[in-house]
Amino acid sequence: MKFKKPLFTLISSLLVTGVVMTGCSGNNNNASSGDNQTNNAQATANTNAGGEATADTSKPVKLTGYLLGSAPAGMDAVVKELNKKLKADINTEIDFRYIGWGDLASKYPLVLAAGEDVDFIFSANWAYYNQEAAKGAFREITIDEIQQYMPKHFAATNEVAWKEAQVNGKIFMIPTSSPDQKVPVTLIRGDLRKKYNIPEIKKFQDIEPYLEAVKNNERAIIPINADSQYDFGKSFFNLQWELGAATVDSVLITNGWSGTHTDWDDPNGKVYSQFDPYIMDTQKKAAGIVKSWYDKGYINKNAISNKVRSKDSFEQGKSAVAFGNTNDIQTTLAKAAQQGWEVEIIPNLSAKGTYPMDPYINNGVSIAAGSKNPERAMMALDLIMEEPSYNKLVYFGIEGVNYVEKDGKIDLPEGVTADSNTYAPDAAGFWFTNKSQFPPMANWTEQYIQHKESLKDILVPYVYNSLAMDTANIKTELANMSTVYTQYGLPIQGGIVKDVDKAFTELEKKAKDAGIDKIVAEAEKQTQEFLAKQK
Amino acid sequence: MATEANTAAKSVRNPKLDRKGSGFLKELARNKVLYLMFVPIALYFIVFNYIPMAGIVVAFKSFNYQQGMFGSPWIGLDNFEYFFSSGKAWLVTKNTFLYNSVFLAAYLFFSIIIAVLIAEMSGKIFKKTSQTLLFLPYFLSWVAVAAIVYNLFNYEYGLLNSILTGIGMDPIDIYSSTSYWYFILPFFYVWKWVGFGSVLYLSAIMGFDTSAYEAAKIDGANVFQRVRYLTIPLLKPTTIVLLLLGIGRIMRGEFDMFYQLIGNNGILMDATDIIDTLVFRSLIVSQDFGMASAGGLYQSVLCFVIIMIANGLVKRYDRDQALF
Repeated sequence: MKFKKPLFTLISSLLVTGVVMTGCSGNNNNASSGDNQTNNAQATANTNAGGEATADTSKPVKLTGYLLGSAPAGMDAVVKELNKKLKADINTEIDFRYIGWGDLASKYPLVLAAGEDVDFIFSANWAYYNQEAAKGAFREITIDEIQQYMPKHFAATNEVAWKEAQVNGKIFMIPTSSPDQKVPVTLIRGDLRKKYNIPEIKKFQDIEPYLEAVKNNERAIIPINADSQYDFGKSFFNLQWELGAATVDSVLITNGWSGTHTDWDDPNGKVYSQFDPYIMDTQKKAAGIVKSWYDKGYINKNAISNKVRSKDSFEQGKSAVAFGNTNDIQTTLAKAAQQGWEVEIIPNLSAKGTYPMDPYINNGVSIAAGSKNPERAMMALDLIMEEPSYNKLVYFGIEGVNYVEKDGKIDLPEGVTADSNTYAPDAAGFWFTNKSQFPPMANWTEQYIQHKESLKDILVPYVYNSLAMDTANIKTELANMSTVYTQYGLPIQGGIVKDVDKAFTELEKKAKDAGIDKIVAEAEKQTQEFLAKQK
Repeated sequence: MATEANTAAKSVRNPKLDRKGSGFLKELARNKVLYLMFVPIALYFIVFNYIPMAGIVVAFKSFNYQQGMFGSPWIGLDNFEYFFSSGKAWLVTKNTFLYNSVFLAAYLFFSIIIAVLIAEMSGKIFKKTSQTLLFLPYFLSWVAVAAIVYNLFNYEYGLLNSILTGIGMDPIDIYSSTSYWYFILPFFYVWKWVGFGSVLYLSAIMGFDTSAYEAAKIDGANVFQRVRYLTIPLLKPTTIVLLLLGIGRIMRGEFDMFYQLIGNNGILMDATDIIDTLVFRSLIVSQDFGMASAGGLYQSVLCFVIIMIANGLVKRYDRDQALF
């Protein structure tokens, strides 16, 4: 970071300010951050003056980035196009590799442990961000570096995001500037509902008559054709949330089961044990209903070993219910529209009609600890995440081949269908880019647009979004709880146990043995400390 | 393959050649061609089996990437705690041992039967076809096998239940009762591996001295007598080597098989949980290398004890057949 000449400093500050300002103009969902942005721009310009001189792009660099999922058929063409642009702008190329969903848990830490040949990797709180960050898998990123190498992204991102990304006070992730606005939803076939004269269904708990009608009249359709991963506990949780305890796991918010609960409607963030009556009573009620559905054949018998999501069965007309979320049902809605089916969206919320907001760290990207070109990786990511031409390229594909922009909406080009599109939106794993830059999709139905509109009244901030629990002291107990949960918890949620009360007693006994009390105590301690610091 | 490598290494270091002369260098000079042939195998084992053994230390450490394998702080036996406090240590150890014993016994039994049958077959085309068909499952991954099993047995659309309801019987729910799995698992294990196993025995049979068989034929022994009094006794050394090698892995569960076929099915778990699946399930969330290594070390130590006992027994009754 050496200054060369005062004149140069001045010119580069002006340049950077300009860049930052253009970055800001793309950001229109952050009304409150107006004066922030000017400050940021100022700060960026100041620190960046010398940076421009050191961020030397004369040497060509080839980066390796890991994403989750699998490469869509059109990936090669998009990467070629992307590299052409990157080469011209910052003399960089990127080679993308994928970690498949099935290998996520095993391969993700291995890629990082091997430490070679990875510069950046998709990271998220639901993809072991805390665990991996605590193990030192990621390179620490400072705010100065962000301002220097990612000025557009810094300007577009709410400062809360950086707080959420901290693990033990250090940042290891570049969180998205636009967290998803989504809630879990249940889709039902409106045409079938009307056919059997079932009144409109606003809440999941009112769905039973619809399931019954389908079961009795539509032989080819299983009312809830659930899979073993995503759908399995859905009916149970949807009911639990609506019937009282609208909770998320206090320790392992997105993956796993620690036996602790926090109500997302509770601003004080009280930690409940799984066996607190508040939780237990609702869960028993929910489990009883799910069991009766299972026994009556409303839920498929093989749910525990089925690998096809209800969403996919729904699209093929084999399930009368589809579980998903605001974002991932888009294709389902499009396909249903092609079949001429009417689809109704039931959001799955708490009794008060709320759902916790996604944290910023729900989608992000981290620099690997062993990256040889972290600066260049950040520069490339800045373009991909915030520069509209890049952003649309990685998210929607090549204009004219994978999408066209018409009347301010994103549509498929002539002759391309949702099935034949080689680069479906959202499918390539670039979920961390700035989605607020995107125009609406042409295939959104009136109901879907309404649903999206309603989200702003539904989403509430969850008190522990930016708390990253340190699980070092309870790792033995958590490991045990994980096995207890699979063996004794899952069957309850799927309704496949013989006796709900007995199953809960068994679960309680096993969870006690596994050390749930220690986990609850630790969770209480850490949440108290966190709340004290917030004040 | 470790099997071949081991036996090859054994024959190269023939003790009779070692006895004469003195000094390691002299010995090297005398048998330099043989030692040269041994070098690649020795290197293979040093690089892939001996050096990685140092990684055992991870089981006693709180591993982090920055300090690495040897720099991370020691934490004693903490990594083992989850396994023994899960309350399932004994159950899964027992399951692993019993399943693998059944697998091994069934595998050896059917491999020998099939090898003998194939060896006695006369029609060349039939022989080759049946051998190929038996070998085919060996190339399928457990993921594919799991899909086959699921399509056979799932409640709503499975082949079995379609047939049952077709002939007016009640469908059965295989995925929620444990008893069927005691048969399904060994069946598919044998189905998948028997082609490979039979080739090992078949190659041994092909190497037998045909003059002994001709003599037996002339003496009037029928085909069953020839199998009973010639083939089976002659196969004994091969069987013992393969048995010992199998026993050496007896605490290592067939993870792919159990995980793909059973998955997270809690109802079946008491009957089908093995060490590998328990460790996997415990650590899938925390992804702690130290705790995972602890599970692996536990298995290795048990395997070591068992193989020492088995080999000791073999040595006691038939010195020449022992592995070491």
